[in-house]
Amino acid sequence: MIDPYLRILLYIIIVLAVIITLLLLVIVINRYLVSVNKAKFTAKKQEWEGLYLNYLQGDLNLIEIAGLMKDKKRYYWLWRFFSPYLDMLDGSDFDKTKVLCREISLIGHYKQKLEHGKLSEKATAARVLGALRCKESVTGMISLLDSKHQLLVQSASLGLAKSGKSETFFSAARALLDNTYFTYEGATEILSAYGESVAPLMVRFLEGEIEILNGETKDESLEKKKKPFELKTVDPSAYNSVMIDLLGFFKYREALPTLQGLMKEADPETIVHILKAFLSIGEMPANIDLKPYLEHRYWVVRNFSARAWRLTGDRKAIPILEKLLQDQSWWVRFNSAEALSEAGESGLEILRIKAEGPEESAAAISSYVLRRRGVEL
Amino acid sequence: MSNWAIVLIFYNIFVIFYFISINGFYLMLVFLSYFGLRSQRSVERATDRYQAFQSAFYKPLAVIIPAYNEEATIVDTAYSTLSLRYPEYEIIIVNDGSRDDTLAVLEKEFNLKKYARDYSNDIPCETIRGIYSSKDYPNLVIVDKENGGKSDALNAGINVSQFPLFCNIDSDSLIDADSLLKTIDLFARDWRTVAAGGTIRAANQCRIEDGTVTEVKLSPKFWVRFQIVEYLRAFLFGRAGWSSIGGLMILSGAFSIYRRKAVVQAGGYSLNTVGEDMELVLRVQRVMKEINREYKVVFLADPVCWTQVPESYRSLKNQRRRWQRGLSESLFGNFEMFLNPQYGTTGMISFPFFLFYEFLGPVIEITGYLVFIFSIFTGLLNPPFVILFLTAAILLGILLSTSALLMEEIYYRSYPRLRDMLILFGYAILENLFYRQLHAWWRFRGLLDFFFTKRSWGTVERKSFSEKKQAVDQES
Repeated sequence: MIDPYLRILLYIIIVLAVIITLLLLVIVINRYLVSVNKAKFTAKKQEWEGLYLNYLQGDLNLIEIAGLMKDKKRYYWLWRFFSPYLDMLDGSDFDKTKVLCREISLIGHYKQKLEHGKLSEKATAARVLGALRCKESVTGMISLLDSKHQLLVQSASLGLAKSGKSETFFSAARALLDNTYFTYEGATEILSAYGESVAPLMVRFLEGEIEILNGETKDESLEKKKKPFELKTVDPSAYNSVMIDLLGFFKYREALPTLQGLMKEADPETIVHILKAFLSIGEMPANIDLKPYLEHRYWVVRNFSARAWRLTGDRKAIPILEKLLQDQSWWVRFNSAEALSEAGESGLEILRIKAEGPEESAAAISSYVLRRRGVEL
Repeated sequence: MSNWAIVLIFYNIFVIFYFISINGFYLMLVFLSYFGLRSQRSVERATDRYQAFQSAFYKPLAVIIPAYNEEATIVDTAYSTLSLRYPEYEIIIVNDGSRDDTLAVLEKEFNLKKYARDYSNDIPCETIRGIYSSKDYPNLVIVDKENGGKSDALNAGINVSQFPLFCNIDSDSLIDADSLLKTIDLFARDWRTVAAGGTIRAANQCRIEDGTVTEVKLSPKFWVRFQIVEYLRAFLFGRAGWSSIGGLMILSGAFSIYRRKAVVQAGGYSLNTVGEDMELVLRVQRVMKEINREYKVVFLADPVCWTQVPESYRSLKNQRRRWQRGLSESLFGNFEMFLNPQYGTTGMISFPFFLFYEFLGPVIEITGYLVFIFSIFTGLLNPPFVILFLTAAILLGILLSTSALLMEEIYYRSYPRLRDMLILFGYAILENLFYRQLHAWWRFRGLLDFFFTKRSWGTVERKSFSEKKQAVDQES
């Protein structure tokens, strides 16, 4: 007769041994299935590639190719197959691909997943439908923006951005900045997928912001545009910064006057974003006076102003740049020296004098920049 | 029955309960990590990494590599770091007063030139002798300083770095090209993130070309294979599990990313511990709490850092003793977190777990074996019970290790050949038959070191990744 404790231990041992054996089996079976699936997908991909190219060239019609490609069990494979093409195609080839995706029920399948799928399925569906620019799914994706799951907000925002519906930009921006923990760099990254078409809208928003700060509103539609911007958690300047960064990213020259206007009353953080945008655009408004920014109390503003000086070449600022060679911040000294080295012979002369002068930090940075430029002292 | 017998019986019962509770915790972590890794995969699928790579918005970052007598590996590490995919980053290699030719090989390979770069004194460190830039690689910076230890070298690197984020990488480690991008994503998607890290894997025997792991191979070395299983367990269910409930207490010193400001506020890496990685994670959490800033420390399994793990018994033993000492120093240096509800999961669950199971574990395990044996000989426990109990304990250990292998198989499949996975499965079994007991003994010795000896960089045999150079003994 076995002691009951020993019996329990024995049962535990048997159960553990069975589970370990099952784990081993799962590993072996999984590896087998993965390799089989991989081989099948590769074969399917090769087959589909030929059919798809024939379809784009007009050798196969929609009904024929849809009949050959339709595979209800393998929608994810179909998505993986089309995904790289969708990123690259535009014009009639994109339209033909979209029609094909609709015909083989890929769009219908993911539309259904967007509404009734699990969290990860909804996220994938938003991405697929966005990449296919399905405007009829915009409402479904907008509803995901209020989700408490950050993954859904992210996928929906990206889907909306790719779907090409510019007017959803503000809703996505609000959701990313207010409903999620995204940093504004992360949010900007996703919003950049909207492309340059949202730039005019952003300029209008930024101009509306200025008018409202001054207590005036000229255009009621601007007020409406502000509605989705009822701020909850984020500093309002974060919205401005996101848009300023995006305008720079899109190199949207038409925004230059708006950005210049914003600079006058902006906080140091926003000024830095505006200067960065100028640098990205590669241009500055002709009448801008950089002096107050080169002398700003915040070193990052001085640093970016020194970098941006190269866009204007304003000779009146050269004495300030010379002074900045002794700035407390190495980056300010470095960028001022770099700016002077690009200011022609007079700038190089200032650097030569400073390099041999008594001011230690100015001498060190001047010699360093001159050496970098291959100028002998 | 004598008093001694009663004490022994109680101790036996205590050991049995200890065993049940620790394994209960581990099983819970297995479940948590399974769901945590699944959620990480969903996020991965929803993220457009290619777009992020082209991004002009991600914060610039400094990669700090402390180096002491690393002439054999430092060039490979530098090339590996130079080939990373990230929009804007600079590499700061800190030569911590090496006695070999670390600086000379760098000078020769990268065409270095001394320059007048400014640096802050935010964190005290030994004197910086010079800062060099490379004429060929503008984002490569070499800092030459007086010897002060690994933590001091990292602190010097933080002082020289000007970017808002920094990443520390061991000089004998290589990171995958997308690792920075994947880890930085954690900072971009959550403003509360102050520190994040990825998985460490053994690079021994892997094929490495131009500083990148191009083919993952299983090392034929006995000790390395044990460590591979151990690393999979530690990262795929240990850290992934703790991270999923917000109780992460450690990020690997071989690869982790921090917000510079948070680390400066915490006073940088501690010079008084050999477990500077864990100690920093704990101290950053304490300081964030003191200044009332919301924070998160996160682990992502996918960004991978490849490192050379010890191949010899002696090296491995020394490393594990050092780790145990580091763990002890970190726990006692931050003891106010213990059962402190202010620190949430970390204070109420992780810290007590690490204290009772990781810090005291070796003592209880070693004494448990001895008391069991003694109890059999004195007739206090009946032998069939002990044999069955030990069998169950070993099987449970095997189950935990093989669960980590299963997660590796489901989510990553880094080892392309099934044969390699089956060999690792064998080692997961073998590990519990003697390696685990040996490991407990090393950790026990580490505890003794904690009470009686002083710190050093440690002794690890270094080999060039490309295996062109001879092994170099690194001594402090």
